[in-house]
Amino acid sequence: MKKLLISSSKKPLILLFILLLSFTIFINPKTSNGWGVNFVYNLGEKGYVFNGVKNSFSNEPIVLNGRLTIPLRDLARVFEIEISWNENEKSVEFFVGKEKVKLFIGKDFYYYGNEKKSLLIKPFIYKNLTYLGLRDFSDILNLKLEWNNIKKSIYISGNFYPVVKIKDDLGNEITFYEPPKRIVSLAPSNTEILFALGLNKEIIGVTEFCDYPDDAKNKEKIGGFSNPNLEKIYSLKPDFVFGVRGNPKETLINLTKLKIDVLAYDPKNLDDLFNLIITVGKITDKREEAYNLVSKMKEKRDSIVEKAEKLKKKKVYLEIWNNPYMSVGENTYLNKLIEDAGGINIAKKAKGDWPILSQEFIITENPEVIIIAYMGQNIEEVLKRPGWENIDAVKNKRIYYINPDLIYRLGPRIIDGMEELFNLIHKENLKEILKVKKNSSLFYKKGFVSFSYYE
Amino acid sequence: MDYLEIKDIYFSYQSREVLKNINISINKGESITIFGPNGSGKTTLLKIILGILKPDEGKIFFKGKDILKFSERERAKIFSYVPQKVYTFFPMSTFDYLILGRTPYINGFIKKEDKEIVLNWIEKFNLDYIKDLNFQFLSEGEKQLITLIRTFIQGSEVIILDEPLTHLDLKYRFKILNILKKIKEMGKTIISVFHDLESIKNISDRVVLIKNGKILEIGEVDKILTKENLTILFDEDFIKFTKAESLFL
Amino acid sequence: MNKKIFVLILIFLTIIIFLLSMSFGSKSYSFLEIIKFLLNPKEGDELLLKIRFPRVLSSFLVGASLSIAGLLSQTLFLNPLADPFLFGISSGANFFVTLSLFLGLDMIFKFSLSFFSFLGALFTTFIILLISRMKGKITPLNLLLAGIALSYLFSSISSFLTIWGRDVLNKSVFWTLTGFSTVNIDKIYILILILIPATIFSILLNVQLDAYSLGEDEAVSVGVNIKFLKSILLFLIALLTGVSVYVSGIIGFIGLMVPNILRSLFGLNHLKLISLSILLGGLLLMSSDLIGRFILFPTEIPVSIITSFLGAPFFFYLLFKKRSY
Repeated sequence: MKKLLISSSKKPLILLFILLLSFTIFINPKTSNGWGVNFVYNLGEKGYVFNGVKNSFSNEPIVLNGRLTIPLRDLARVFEIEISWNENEKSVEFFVGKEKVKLFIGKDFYYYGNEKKSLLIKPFIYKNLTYLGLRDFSDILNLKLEWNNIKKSIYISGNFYPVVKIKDDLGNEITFYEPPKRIVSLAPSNTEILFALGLNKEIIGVTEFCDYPDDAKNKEKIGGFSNPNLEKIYSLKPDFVFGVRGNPKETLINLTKLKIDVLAYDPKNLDDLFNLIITVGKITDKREEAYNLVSKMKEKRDSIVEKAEKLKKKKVYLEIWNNPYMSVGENTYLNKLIEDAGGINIAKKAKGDWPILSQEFIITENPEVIIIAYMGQNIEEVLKRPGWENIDAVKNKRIYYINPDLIYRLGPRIIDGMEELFNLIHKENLKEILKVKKNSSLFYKKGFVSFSYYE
Repeated sequence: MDYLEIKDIYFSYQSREVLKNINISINKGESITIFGPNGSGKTTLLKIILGILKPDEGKIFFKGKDILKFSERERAKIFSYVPQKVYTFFPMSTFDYLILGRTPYINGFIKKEDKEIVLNWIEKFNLDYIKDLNFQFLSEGEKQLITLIRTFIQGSEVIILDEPLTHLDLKYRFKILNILKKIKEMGKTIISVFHDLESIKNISDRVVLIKNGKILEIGEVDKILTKENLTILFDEDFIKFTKAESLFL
Repeated sequence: MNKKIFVLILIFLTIIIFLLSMSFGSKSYSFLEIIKFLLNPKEGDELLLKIRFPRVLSSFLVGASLSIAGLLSQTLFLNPLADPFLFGISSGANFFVTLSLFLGLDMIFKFSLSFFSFLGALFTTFIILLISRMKGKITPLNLLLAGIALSYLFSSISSFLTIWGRDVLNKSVFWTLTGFSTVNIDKIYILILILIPATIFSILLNVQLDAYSLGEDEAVSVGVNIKFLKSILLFLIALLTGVSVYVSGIIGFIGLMVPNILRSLFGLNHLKLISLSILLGGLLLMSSDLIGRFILFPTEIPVSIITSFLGAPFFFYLLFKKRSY
């Protein structure tokens, strides 16, 4: 046998190669290969644990021939799959990825796309519910099922992408068989949502105004918010365009005509926003991230509301523009943010969503805190406004600036905005101040002039 | 020194020569008519005398002084104007219209004396019935008449009239011709444009025959309006008409 | 309608509306308190002194200003349908506002946005004067054409800036809707500073204006220096309109309606027309502002929207009334 002589110069290279190889084996970077699911069910119980969250079936699972069967409806709910029932054929259909799965009542085979496959248990109807064997279900979805005989528990785990049919606020309906890989965002708030869900790689185009997070600045620009460039968007060959109210409808329609999937939303309040985040999570195969983000946001919001309830409510004037003086009306989400943060919005009684207020009104209402929500207004100037001297906020110099992006972008940072509002409203109660996020910038650059405004 | 001297006037408009080498010398108190075919530059000449238009070449001297060296006010005290057609853009009373004749004398505000002067002239001409009416609603004849009266109020030495009788009925032709005669008697200088020979013979001392912007001849009324001159002037054979005058009654 | 009665009614209404405007608002005052205030302003309520009174007063003064500007425009153009914004002042003012918003200059000093609008008005007039001079004569047609050309130019650049810039569109729209809600005692000073000399000047020119109404040729024949008059008219219109735009944005119809109403009653006499324009224009705009404050209280409806509502029936009236020319 010939001795393999390895020269000394090559040794480090080979070592490196082995090292790299071992890394690839042990370190498996999370790829968007589907929603990671983890299902634990103890025999005999009605409850189960799905991705760490406890829940229970609405109907009793049935053990048939030693196999556990569960109503398809319940499984669909847990695994977020859309089932359609075909009355004529007595069949159920749903999608697994791009393949359509068709099961028949009383038949032991099913169709996976064009492929015919077999089932362990024939689906049956009991008390008007269609039952399916759990192992069959797990196999269809290409998930791994393990049975722990000692604990009498079933573990299902794996990744899959639940096909979603989404309807947006414009009435568009799109079915996603796989997560989009090339996403264009048509609004800064959308960009922030996408980044917060970890979709940096997938984002291929953003508007000129998308400046947060930093990575967004490096993305290809597709034009403005009210004038996105149709051709530019098309040239990037996106498979999903994420728009908002404010984008020109014609552009969105034209994109649809060019066979590009477009969804546009008009979230009006926090609940709409949470739903939107979840929807985007479902589309982009970032469900866990979405659920986590929403629950974190809710948690933080609730903690702010709780703290705010303990404090005395303060009258707040949120100035969104000064020429003329404008504020936010009762039906806006901003009004709710202010109120939840422990403020009383003085413009609540004005009619309209963005009412123009007379100076008299502001002076008579006598707000305790004035928050300036646009750039360029010098706080000193506000103090000097003739006739405003006797307003409490002016007397006590409680006039603050808030980064408009934090409150105008209905996106992940909106709760930070709420936090900031809380801090500003209750500033004098120092011990109540929550941590102020460092990356909410108080500086802005505009055109040729650069100002910094600080209270 | 001549009273009013029109010297070497040239005027072009949109590269068309409207007036060429116009030289006229006018005496104080005389009545002179500019006579010629349509488009021969008559109205233009009148406007140049008034200072409304500025000639390309040449000057106009009043008592030896270049009229363009006068201020607008000073010029208005010397010359007054009855245009061919009076345009009114806004409603105004006849009284308001008349008092504008006092503009060159008014500094800032209309005074009582200005009003009195106007009322005097209104009385003299029996126009009391008209003075509060909207000038816009008057007939052509009334408008022309009133404008002529305004020249009295303006008190100028020289009255310039552009076809004052053209649109008028017999009654007003008669009235205006009479007033013109009175003006003449007052010793004022009249520069006019007429189209009918009757008026010219009634009013004027001299006639300037003008054709294509050039002066053909200047002469006294009885001598210059011959059939031969008219033929040359209008390129029309008037010689064959034996009773030429009867045509122009 | 008897002219004297009309004037008396005007004066009476002005006093009433003035008192109502002063008393109505987020805080109410009785007529007695207002009279006490007027006799001794320093002793009065801060709100009255610094906000309410300047507001009511400025609505009156701007109404007067726009009406005189409208009258002068109609005389200048020899056309009763002219208004002070006819030759592009509003697009010029708007352009400067949009430009300053785009460059981020909108708040470099107090009222800078308003100041730029004023600058825009003057600048536009200056350019138009220049263009007309180049053309040779300042005729209404030249002015109109130059104005239209400038309007198109300014509008297109403004539109471009609003698309390109951030927030420029809504902010410039809001600026045009400002009305009197941001008026305080500081803005009043400039208004008075400009309005008084401009009015006095216009009044001194009243006979010249009367004569100019005869038409250019006749005006010259009665001794009017029309070149000077036209230039000065343009300048006065620009000043009066510019300062109005500075105080309260763009308000239409007042400059158009008031002179027409007055001419039909009082004829040509510019002395009467100017004086009464102050009264009628002031009254109309003061009333419009009161309505705007009142209808959706406490939300403000910008005064320009109210004047537009008044303008529509006025145009119908013009359409159906007996034509006099």
